[in-house]
Amino acid sequence: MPATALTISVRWQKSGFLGQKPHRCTPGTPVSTRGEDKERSVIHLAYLDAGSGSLIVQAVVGGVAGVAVAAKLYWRRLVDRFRRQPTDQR
Amino acid sequence: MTRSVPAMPPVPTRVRTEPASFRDPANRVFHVGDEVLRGLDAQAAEHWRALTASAFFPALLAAGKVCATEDAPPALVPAGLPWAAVLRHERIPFVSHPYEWSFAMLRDAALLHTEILGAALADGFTTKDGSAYNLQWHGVQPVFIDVGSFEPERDGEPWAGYRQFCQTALYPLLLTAHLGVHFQPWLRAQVDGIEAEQLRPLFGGTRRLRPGVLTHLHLHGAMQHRNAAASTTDVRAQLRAAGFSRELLLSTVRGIEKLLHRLDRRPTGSHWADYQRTCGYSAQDRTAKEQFVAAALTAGTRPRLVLDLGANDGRYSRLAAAYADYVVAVEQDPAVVDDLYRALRAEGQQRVLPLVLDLADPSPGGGWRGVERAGFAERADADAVLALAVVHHLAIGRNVPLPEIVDWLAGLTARGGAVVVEFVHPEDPMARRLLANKPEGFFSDYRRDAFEALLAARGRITERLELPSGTRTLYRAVMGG
Repeated sequence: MPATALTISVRWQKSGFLGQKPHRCTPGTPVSTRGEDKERSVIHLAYLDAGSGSLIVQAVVGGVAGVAVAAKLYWRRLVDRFRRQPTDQR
Repeated sequence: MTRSVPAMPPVPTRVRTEPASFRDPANRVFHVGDEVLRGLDAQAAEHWRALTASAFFPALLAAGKVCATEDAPPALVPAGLPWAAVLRHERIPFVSHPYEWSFAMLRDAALLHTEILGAALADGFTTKDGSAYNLQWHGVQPVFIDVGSFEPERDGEPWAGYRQFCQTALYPLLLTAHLGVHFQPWLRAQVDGIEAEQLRPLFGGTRRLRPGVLTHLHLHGAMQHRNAAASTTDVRAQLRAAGFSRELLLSTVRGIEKLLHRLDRRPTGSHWADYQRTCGYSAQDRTAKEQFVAAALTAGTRPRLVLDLGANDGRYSRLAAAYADYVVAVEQDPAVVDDLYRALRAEGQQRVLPLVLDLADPSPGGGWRGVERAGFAERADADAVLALAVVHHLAIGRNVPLPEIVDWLAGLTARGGAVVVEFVHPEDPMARRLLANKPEGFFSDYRRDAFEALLAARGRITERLELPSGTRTLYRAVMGG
């Protein structure tokens, strides 16, 4: 599914690199479309709430490769915000 | 070390659910008589079958690192239970909680958790959670008890138990290792452990640079705060798309293991640390006392569980271990317990479990409805209780009335069990030192005859010995009969 096909309401908030707020207003609304929707369908939630921040930080403490993963995640979040900005203004 | 589930006794029928086992609805521990069973739903049963066919799990079982577990014999499982499968676990000799462990105990338990997680990940499994409460003890050997926690790992997902592991194991260790603050009261106060936001203010300035603090505490806390509104489903998908992998998770686990090895600070001791040297026993007193305790423990049937209250350096716990199946050595000073734990491990002693516990303020019930984590009194039902050189500390040092102390000793002892208790006379130098801090005449009922009468009212005194110094008397009393 192309990114532009989604109609997602996006609110821009200025924040730091690691501290970016999730870019959606409605809880549960899909966030990104770069192949993640397909992957999300096979994700099973555990009984324990793992905590979103606790999941991300595991990449950072995993060493250089992990920092690259975290950087990629935040870069994608940033790019997605700019991509969806026009949709939001319509 | 290999253990197996003991032979099956006659089938009892009464089912009692374990109050500590409710958080994961996929499986639940329950008791039938003395048996410890675990019911599994259909998916958990499938995971169990995969687990038994794996390479890592049987190896952990054989090494005694996971509690012995098997499919429950059908005759043992009462009819009408809703589970797809039922497992049978070996019984842990004495259940304890992380806030009753010393620093080195919590660290070794945490290291076993990461070792098990690493082995599981390498074989395509993971653990659903990361709680320090997933671990128990066989003497001074930690053992992983939450067999229901294992499930197949999905490549590209981080560890769901990381936050729980930080809160119940890593943060308490950082507190003690870096700041010298005992973690036990913090853990006892909060069943879910210490939160990053509670600890971060204590790690400002250059303390941020101590091992593990910047990443596992500050960065972790900040990311939790900033991502509080993000769903974990979305974040998992984002991480997977960004390239998070099993190798990366293994590297994270190895990093935590490395950090745990670096956190090796011996807690600072109090005056209790030097108690055996300074408490003033003569050699004759000590010999007579050891002979009395040995005779008292061998006078009846072999005790299964002995409680050594105020164990200090564990001299009498070790002695008791020669005549009993299992000894729980209780001592209030975390530094003394830490030394005892390290010494017992070095000796290879397998039957003594050291625990941190203030006798005048023992662990209460905790967690949900106050029963999720059983209080010490609920767990203690000993065949023999040693209360050596401890009554005067409670009676004079903590102002506990003598009748209360005798009642308390009786309550810790199974019916027909023995109490071996030392009464320190008011004339003894140690008692005089304690009495000097209290108003004169304040403890007029603190007398040997009064204590003996109280003990005789609650049990049958079978042995009595005045130590050669003439200021201490030992009793063996059979309680409730």
